[in-house]
Formats: sequence, C-alpha cells, structure tokens
Amino acid sequence: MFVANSPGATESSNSLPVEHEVKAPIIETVGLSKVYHIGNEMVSPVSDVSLQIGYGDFAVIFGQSGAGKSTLLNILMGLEEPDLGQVFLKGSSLYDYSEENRTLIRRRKISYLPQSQYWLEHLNMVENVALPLILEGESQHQAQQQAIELLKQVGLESRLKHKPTELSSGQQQKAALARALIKKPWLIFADEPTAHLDTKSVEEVTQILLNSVNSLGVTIVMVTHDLEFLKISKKWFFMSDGRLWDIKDRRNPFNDIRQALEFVDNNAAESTK
Amino acid sequence: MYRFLLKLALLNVFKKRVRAFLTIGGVAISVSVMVFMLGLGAGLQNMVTEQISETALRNVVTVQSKNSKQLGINQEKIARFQSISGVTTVEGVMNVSGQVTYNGISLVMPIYAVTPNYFDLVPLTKVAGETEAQMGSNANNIIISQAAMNAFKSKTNIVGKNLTTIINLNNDTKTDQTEATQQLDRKEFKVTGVVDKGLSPVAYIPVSYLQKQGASNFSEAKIQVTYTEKVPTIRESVEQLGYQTTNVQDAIDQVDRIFKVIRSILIAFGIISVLITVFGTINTITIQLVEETRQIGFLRIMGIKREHVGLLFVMQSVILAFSGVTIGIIGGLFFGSISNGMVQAVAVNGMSDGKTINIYQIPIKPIIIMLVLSIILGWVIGLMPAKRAVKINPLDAIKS
Repeated sequence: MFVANSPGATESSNSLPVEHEVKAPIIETVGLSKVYHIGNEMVSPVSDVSLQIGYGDFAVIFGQSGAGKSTLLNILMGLEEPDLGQVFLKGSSLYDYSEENRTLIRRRKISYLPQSQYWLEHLNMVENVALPLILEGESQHQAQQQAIELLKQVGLESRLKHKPTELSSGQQQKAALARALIKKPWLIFADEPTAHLDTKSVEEVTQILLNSVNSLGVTIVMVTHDLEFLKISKKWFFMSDGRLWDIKDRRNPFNDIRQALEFVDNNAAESTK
Repeated sequence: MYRFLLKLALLNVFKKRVRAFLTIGGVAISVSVMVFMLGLGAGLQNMVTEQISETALRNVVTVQSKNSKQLGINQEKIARFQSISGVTTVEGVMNVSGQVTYNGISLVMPIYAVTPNYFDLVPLTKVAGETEAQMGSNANNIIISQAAMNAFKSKTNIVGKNLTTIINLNNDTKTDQTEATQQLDRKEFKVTGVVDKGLSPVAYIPVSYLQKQGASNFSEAKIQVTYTEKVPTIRESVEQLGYQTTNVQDAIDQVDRIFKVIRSILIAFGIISVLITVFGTINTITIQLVEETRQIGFLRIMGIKREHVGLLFVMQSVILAFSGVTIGIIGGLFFGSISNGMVQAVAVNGMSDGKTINIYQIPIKPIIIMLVLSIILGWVIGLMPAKRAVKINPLDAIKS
C-alpha cells in the first residue's frame, strides 16, 4: 500500500509518529460547500471542506449536532451533490458519475452504519444481512450462506432465524456490521454506531470494526462523540458550523482534540443559555 | 431486484393487516356488488331474451293486415309473400274464437286454424301427445294448450279424447265480408296433443276445416326467412305492400333497451366503486409513505435507485387496488353462483322439460375491464407518493 507523509508535516516528517502518516486517499474532497435557502436566509452546513482519507484508515469526525456532519456524509456517500467542490473516490470524481452509477457504487462498495438500525421487520436476521447481495443479484442460497457465515463471525450464530425486534441493541448493531461487511465494501460510513450501547457491546462492536480495518482493509469514516475512539483512530477531524479541520493539519485553529471539544462544549453551553 | 421489490411491497402492504384488509375489503365489497349486479342483469336479460326467442323463431316474420277489409291476406297474397327473395315458407293462420266443451266444462277461447307446418315456425313446448303433422290430413284433430287442459280439470290423458267446439267465424276470415259473425255447426275434434302456451287457454285446429266452411282470409301469415340477417329486408318488402310486420327481435330489442337503462344505473354504481378504490388506496398509500420514510432512506442508502423506490410505492398501490378488485370479483361470482343455485333449487320442481334456469351470467367483459382498470388506477394512484418518496433525503429519513 502506498504511504505518504501529510502535506502539513513535510518539513519535519522524521519527527512524526507513525500514526500521523497519510496514506493514498481512497476518498478525498476539495473545497466542498453546500448551501440551502431557508426563506430569505442562506445556510451552509458544509463550507469549504477538504479532507483526505487513506486506504484502510479508521477516520473519526467529531462535532456537535448541527455541525454539518450528516450533510457531509450525504455528500461523501454520493447522495447529495455539493454546490461547490469535488469528491474523489479512488481518484475519480464521484459527481462526474451519473446518479444511477453513484447508486450502483453505493450498492456495491459503500456501506452505512447508523446509530439505530433499520431492518425489514418481517425478514429474519439471515435474510436481512443477505440483502445487499440479493440486491446485487446474487442467488438467495449463496447470499444467505455468506450471511450465516458473517453472523457467526460476529457471534450471532444463535440468532440466525430470529426477527430483528427479538435482538438487543448490541446484537442488532453487530448484525448491522455483518450486513455492512457482506458486500466487502471499500468504505463504511458509521454515524454514532456505539451510542446507546452498553459497555460490553461497545467493546464488541469496536473490535469488529477494528478487525474489518486490519484484516479486510476496509476504510471506516465514523462520526462520533465517543472519546474512546480517539485511542484507536489515527485520523481525526473536527467539524463545527460547516467547517472541518484535520486535527493534525497546521491550519487547524485548535492545538489538539481536547481544545476542539472544549470549543464544542462552550458552544453548546452558549446555545442553551 | 423486481422480485425483491415485489416481496417488500407485499410485506409493506400487509404489515398493518387491519388497515390493509379494511382498504382491500372496502374495494372488494363495492366491486363484489358490481360484479353480482352486472352478472344478474346479464343473466336476467339472457333469460328473458331466451324465453322470448322460444316463443318464435328469429327468422320468422309475422304479417298482419292493417285493415283486413281493404287488404286481407288470402292465398294470392300468401303466394306473393312466397315470391319475395329470401322467403322459405309462408304459412297462413286464421284467428277465430269458439266455445270448447269437455268434461261438462265449456270455455270460450281463441282458436287458431293453422297449416300442417305451423308448428315448425312457431315452436311450442310439447307437454303431451303429438304436434307434428297433426294439422294436415285429418281435419278433425285439435291441439290444446296446457292452460286449457288444466281449465278442463284434466290431465295429459286428455290426448285421444273428443272435444266439442262451436266456432265463430268473424268477418276477418269470411270470404263474403258480411258484417255479422257466422256461427259454425257444433263439431267434435279429437285431441292429439297438448302444448305449453303459458297461461293462455288456446286451441289449434287444421285450417283446412275452416276453409271447407267458407273461410278464405287469413288473420296473419308467418313468413320464414332463409337467414335471420335477411329479416329486416323481408319486413321492408312486406311493409311496402301495406302490411304490418312483427318479429321476435322487436321484443328482444325492447328488453335490451330496458336492460340498457339498468346497466347505466350499474355503471353509475361502478363509478362510485372506482372512487372508493381511488380514495381508499390514496389514503392507505399516503399513510404508508409517512410510515415507511425510514425504509425509503434505508433503501436509498443501500443502493436502490430512486426509480425503484418509486416503483415500490406504485407496486404497493397496485397490490391494494388489484387485491381489492380480485377479491371483489371472486365474491361477486360466488354470490352470483349461490343465487343461481338457490333459484335453480326452487325452480327445479316446476321445470318439466329438464331446462335449467340461469339468472346469473359471468360478466366477463366488465371483469376484464375492472382488472385492467385496477392495475392502471393503482399505478396512477401510486405515482404521487412515489414522486414524493424519491425526493426524501435518505440520511434524514433513516434518522427520522
């Protein structure tokens, strides 16, 4: 895998710890902006956002609610075209593809892991997990075999024929990970995947995420408030009022993530006054 | 993909079973009433038409004189009718009245003096004895109707018995055209057959008997035409000679007109049932759109195209409308066949000729129209929520 130093660290690359290296980007944005017109006002949830996330990165985006994380995720997943700027997926401009092709890319190579899972209630866990392959035209039998295999790997072998509502939140999140991984994605976008989970489930889900990065080479872009992920992630971003800062980028106004989080807390306190 | 979408559409429609069954049930009830009424209308129309057709052949035209004194129907006119192209046979009939006595009971009834082939042109259901070739060689034969037989308090063993008749020749049938009615001598006729003529007590005697008594003018003539299609032309030719004509088609047309009015009323009901289908389906689909917002977001993120999300709602709408209409059709046919069975069970005792009564006829054309319409309507109804569904922001939707 190609590994390069970050642009902001070229002058003193030898002193950088290894976790700050920047790999060749699987996804990269340049000057992304999105503007909405609400009445006479213009709101920009994403403003001049540039980021690079390398192959196999475990990237974490911190930010308070309303910071623009969801809009950014929408744009990164090819769901919402930016007004300005570009998204490059594996070097190709994502929005140069037709919407139909972007949908196909998402179907085949991009997974999404939300905070609370959505399931087709009448289908059992195997059928639900097999869904991405069924949509791709895989035979029912083969898709379900792979689903069973993955469900076993995430420790849900006793819940194969259960309906989603019969599973706990932690079990559902693990099953959702199995569903996200079944299509062997390039990228998983995770939005607060461990919120509302008990400590044990958080550990299990985190472990599965790490395994998929380490053994499968999947790139993960996670939006979270959970500081625990700072320990395992090597790529941190901070988002506020539509702006995104790479924590290790020297243009970043914060010295470290703690300062950024204090900024978030203060802003939150201001807004509640 | 389409198989998955169909499966998902079915799951979505029947997720809230009570609501789905209420919607489908509402459509089904109105369609079922429609199918039942249309089938009943068609069945009754068919039955009436058949019964009318049984009384006379469609290719037989009855000719009557508008004014028998000025323009009678005699042998010469019969020959004239016969010469018209397309005419197969012409048979004259003399309508007289008379007193018929049997078993000490005297009845005054119409008596038709007919030719040997009369019953070929006017097919009547035989109840007892013989009708064919009974009005020819033997001028003493008489055929009576079942109503007359009953009036004589007799049964089918009346065949072979003698009846006494006193016939009044009216001025229509007499040759001399005198005003007075001429009463013929008392005469004995031997009953050779009994026919079903409904509730009318009538008798048929050979026309040769009256001709021997001096009658020469026929009251009417029955013209048999080669093909039914030629009937209008023949009628026109005869009417040009100054006669009036009737054909069983006149009665059938009258029946058709009545049932056309009934059908129009049913079509109005049909429009109401269409409206029920439309509003019921729109209502359910709109609620489903709200309920399935998360699902739409999920599907879009999973990589399902916008058009397929739209198609999902169109499918749901078509499933609702089509299921309602299909169940309604099955219900309508079921009630139709039940009604038919009940009527047949009641009527079977009164049927002596082994015929079955069908008051219900499957309305095939309307059924096909309803099925096709349910798909088209379902599709159109589904387009509106489908349009809204594809515009939903996937990430916002899945978080909702």
